[in-house]
Amino acid sequence: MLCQSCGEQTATMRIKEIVNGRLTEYAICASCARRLGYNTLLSGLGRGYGSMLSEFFGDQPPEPEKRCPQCGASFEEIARTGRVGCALCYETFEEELMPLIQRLHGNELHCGKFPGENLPQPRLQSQMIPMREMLEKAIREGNKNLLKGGESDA
Amino acid sequence: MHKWYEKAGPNSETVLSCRVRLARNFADLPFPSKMSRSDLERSRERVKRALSLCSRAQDYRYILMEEMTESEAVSFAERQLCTPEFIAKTSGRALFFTSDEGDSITVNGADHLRIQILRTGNQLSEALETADQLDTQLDRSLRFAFRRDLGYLTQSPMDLGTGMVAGLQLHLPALEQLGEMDRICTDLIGLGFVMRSLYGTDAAIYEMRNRITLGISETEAVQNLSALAKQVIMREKRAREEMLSQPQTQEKIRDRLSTLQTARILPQKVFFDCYSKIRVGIFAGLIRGLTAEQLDTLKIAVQPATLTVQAGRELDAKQCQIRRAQLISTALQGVRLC
Repeated sequence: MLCQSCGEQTATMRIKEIVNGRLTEYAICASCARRLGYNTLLSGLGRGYGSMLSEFFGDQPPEPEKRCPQCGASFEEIARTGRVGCALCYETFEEELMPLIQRLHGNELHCGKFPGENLPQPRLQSQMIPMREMLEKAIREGNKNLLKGGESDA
Repeated sequence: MHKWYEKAGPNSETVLSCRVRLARNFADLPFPSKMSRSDLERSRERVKRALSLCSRAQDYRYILMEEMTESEAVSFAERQLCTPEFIAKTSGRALFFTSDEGDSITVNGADHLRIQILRTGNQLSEALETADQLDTQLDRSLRFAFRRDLGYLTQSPMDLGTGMVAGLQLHLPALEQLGEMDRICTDLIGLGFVMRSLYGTDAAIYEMRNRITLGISETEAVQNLSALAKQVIMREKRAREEMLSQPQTQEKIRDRLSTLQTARILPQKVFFDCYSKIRVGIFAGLIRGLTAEQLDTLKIAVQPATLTVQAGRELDAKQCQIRRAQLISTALQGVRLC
């Protein structure tokens, strides 16, 4: 199916919007999704996710017979839908999911809230330093790039 | 009880509202796309019970989505209580919200729970604090799925980590007029943020939100969002000064106020164009007798499904446009140009 926004590329993602009081669904391509602000690293869960996986594993999903003991999901199902079946799937399919999670999030570890605890205070030595540096650089250089035409107060 | 959007908020010249959303799941139930009917009910009952033990329990209203008409469900999305995706499939889903509609929890949508706090203007820190408190209180009885390395476990691996989305709704008519929004939206993607137009270019309303949830704390994500939004806002303010110095801008503001006060039929697209110009006029001191929060309240009230729900009967497109025009012209009686 062609993208309903540009009419040129193949649609890989379905989005839902409220248009004139009605729920409306559109099929759009990855580049239009990005342009319209729907971009996710997994844009086009079905197709995008699957093709991303195949880069790692070829066309054969690993151990297709393995299923999660709690929800019954197979890895093939997770890859096809982009949805993990349950919390235990992260353990059951850890080996298969971790390369994908690293591709989505980098080698990051959780450094936010832990259940039952207070919000952590911002840490200068956090793993966000590269990101923060990039962000600060963007803010600094915003005058000629993002913020063309104005002086920064940063 | 006033709704959250009826109150004035800080930095409301450019920031209409802010929101913080936390995605949470139960460790022992399948995620929503694999839940059975009994799982869906169990999940709803757990949230209901846990919420009854929270400090503002008495203030929450409970809605079973499958009992709603289509217009009622769409109206919830128009009032930002849930996403269009949440109402696309209503079976087994529930919505809890406070009487001011500022605090809400969707159940059995993309995750078992999504806590959302909405506030006017830029009150991101307060919204995060409120979301965190509610999450902590719920967690005492619900035990959310969590791993030390991956954080909160979510149905989509995209949301792993904090499970948090923090967003600012921005009014950027001057940058829109300059044709800069496409470039800003593209630049923000590379920085780990998303900027998306909400009501089309006439309204010039955008939501800017974080995209990264793993490897960053909630507070850091909110600080980064605020810092970058501040730069966009500065740019908008400068462009707006320039825009207001042009005589045709003030002429447009006068013209759009007159349109809203006299129209008998008002399509949504025309309303949003007028809304955007008049909002600029309010902050430029060109309009007397109307505040930004009154105008923003009208913006929510005149959306099609919300109009239909208020009317208590189905309205076709033309009836909606007539009713919108009536409601607005009544509300704007006495509003004058300075």
